[in-house]
Amino acid sequence: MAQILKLSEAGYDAISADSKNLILDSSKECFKIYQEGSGSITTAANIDMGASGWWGVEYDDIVHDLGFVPMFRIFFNYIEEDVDDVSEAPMFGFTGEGTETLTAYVDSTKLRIFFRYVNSTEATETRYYKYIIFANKLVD
Amino acid sequence: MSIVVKSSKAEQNVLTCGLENLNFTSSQNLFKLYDYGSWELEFPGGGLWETLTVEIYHDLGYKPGFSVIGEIPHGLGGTSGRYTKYVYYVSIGAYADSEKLTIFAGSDEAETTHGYYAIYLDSLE
Repeated sequence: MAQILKLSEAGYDAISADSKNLILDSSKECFKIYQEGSGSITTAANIDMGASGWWGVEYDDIVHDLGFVPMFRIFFNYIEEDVDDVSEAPMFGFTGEGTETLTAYVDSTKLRIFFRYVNSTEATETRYYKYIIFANKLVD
Repeated sequence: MSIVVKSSKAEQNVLTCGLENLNFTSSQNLFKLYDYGSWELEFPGGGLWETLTVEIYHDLGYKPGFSVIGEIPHGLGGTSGRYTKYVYYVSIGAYADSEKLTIFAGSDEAETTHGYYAIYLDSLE
């Protein structure tokens, strides 16, 4: 017979409480954090969108060994000078000197974090990110 | 010796199955809810574009994970009662620092947009 572990919020009976009042219900799948880490991606300078619509592209690959396509989340700092602010990807923004997107895809071996941008300045730009890969299948 | 509590999906052997077939295991961290609630932004309208923010303070002392969903303002082509995830997308979004969660949206219509947020105990640092 399957055993179920339930923990309820204060003031509720774990045996009779609705699911919404349970802190943990082991019969429901939780988001299990499997791998997490941080990194950064830096642009080149003087990257303009030409007639072909070409953007600069940089990416980082995060290798995982789950063997299936996992769920994930990515947070990043969206203004280089303000690294204390973090938002969630995907992102599409304007910086004043350019346009940028930060997004990602995942497969059964890696999470690839993309930074596409137009940077018309002489300076490079760096975006710092934090990734979380869950031990939960995105694709069956 | 550490003790691990596991619960598997139906038809799976909890002792031998992979992580993807466990509903819960105490060996992996989970997102732990710290605070949640609702937010509201009231735009004055009148054809003047305005970006408004609402700040949700926390006392965690570090940048926490978070989730924000809300209506897309009519001024951005949204419809009441339809919710989307607030990621950083030019005119709507959310970001956190070590003191607060900031939610922002823009509109040029007289309207009220609302949504919900969750702040997690888990750090992004």
